[in-house]
Amino acid sequence: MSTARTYKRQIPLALTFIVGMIITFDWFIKWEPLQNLTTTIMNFQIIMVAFMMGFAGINLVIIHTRRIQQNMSDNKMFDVLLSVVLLGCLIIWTIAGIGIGRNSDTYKWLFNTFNQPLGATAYAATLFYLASATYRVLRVRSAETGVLLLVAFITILGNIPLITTYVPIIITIRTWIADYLVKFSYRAITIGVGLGGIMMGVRTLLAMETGYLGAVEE
Amino acid sequence: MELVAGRMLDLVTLIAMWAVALFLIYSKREVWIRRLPALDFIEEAVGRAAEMGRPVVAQGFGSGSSGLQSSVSPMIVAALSILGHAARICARHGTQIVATMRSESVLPVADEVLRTAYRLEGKLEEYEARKEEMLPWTPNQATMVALAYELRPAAHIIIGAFWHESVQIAEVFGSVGAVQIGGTGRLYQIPFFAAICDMNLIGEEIYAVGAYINRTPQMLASIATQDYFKLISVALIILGTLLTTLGMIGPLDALFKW
Repeated sequence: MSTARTYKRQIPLALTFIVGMIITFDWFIKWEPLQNLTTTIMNFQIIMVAFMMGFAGINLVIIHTRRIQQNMSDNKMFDVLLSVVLLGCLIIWTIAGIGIGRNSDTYKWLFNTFNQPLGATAYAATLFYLASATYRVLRVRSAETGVLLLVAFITILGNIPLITTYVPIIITIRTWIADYLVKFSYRAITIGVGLGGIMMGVRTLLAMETGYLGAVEE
Repeated sequence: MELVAGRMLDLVTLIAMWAVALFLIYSKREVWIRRLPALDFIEEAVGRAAEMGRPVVAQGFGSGSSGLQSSVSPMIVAALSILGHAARICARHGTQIVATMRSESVLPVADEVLRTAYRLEGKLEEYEARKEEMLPWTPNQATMVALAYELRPAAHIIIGAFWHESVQIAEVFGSVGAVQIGGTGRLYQIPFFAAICDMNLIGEEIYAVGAYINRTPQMLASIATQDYFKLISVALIILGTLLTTLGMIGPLDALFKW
């Protein structure tokens, strides 16, 4: 391994360990110098992220300017239009957000008129995909999917007032499933995920988990 | 300098986990971990993509508004390990891999992961030439949907932290004929992946990826530590149930508030 590559690997690992230990100690120990150090690290992280966003914005402008030139020479005018719209939105939102301010009426109008309806539409579209996924899963292929179908059927019926009015016991069954079967399996997963997350942290601090450096299997 | 009240048990548990992990690592005991079919399936999925001449899409590096600076970063780090593993297999088979992500903070890291994977397979030039199309920024589910229809990939690896968009993205990739390997530690998204994906990593399984791929004694020892503490958790649950039934939960309750 070359010296440059060693530094590229060893320095981030050392930084991960030092910063990780400081943040961990800060959670358990109340000590002003440590708290100040943690605040500095957190602020540095915010600045890094802001810098990355700025860099990403510049990168986006470069890529789409190049795409506009390429697509214009290939006569792909619709693709040109999409890139122009994207760059236009980027400029308008940057001016509104940084120039005029996030609390300004202009920014709020832009957000409420464009961003919110588009977000709500994308969220609402989830319904159709859910319906399609439900159809896919509620096909009995094995004993497990049979049980899944039964539980889903009871849960769906338990949410229909017309059914629960005439068959009230279905609410009791649905509540029992949610309170016991679902809750204990969810808790088992939560415990596992929590412990897994802690051990992942330990491995990362001990420089054993190096996948984020691109060093898997190296 | 003083210790923060109410976090003593957390501290003791953390120290105990470190101690057990280090003991197992340095004692070099042989540890067995079960198979994870979803990870074994990655090779098969890439092979399928190579036969069909279609790409593999890997995503999961910070969905929603999260990135490496958020509380779900362990899931993102785990997903990056899987990306490195899948990218090496793709490079070996000559299959194109497209790594998509929501968070701009993950982009340079994913770039490095892909670069290393291609370098290790001796195909760095191939990556450099196609980097732009292999590393698109997909800020929302709409761009993922568009990408699915545009690329029509043969395989889709969706592992990491997801919110409601998980079902939308996975369903679209399923509808364009991609075999899917899903996995998340986010509780409410697990059923969606179980419903839609062909293979699943459930909960903490995604954290075991690094150990499963590398299989070094140190990594395996950390997985064993995790399992020992899971057994302790089960024992505490049984103890808590018994003490609650007997009306004697007081001491255990005090321990958790320590």
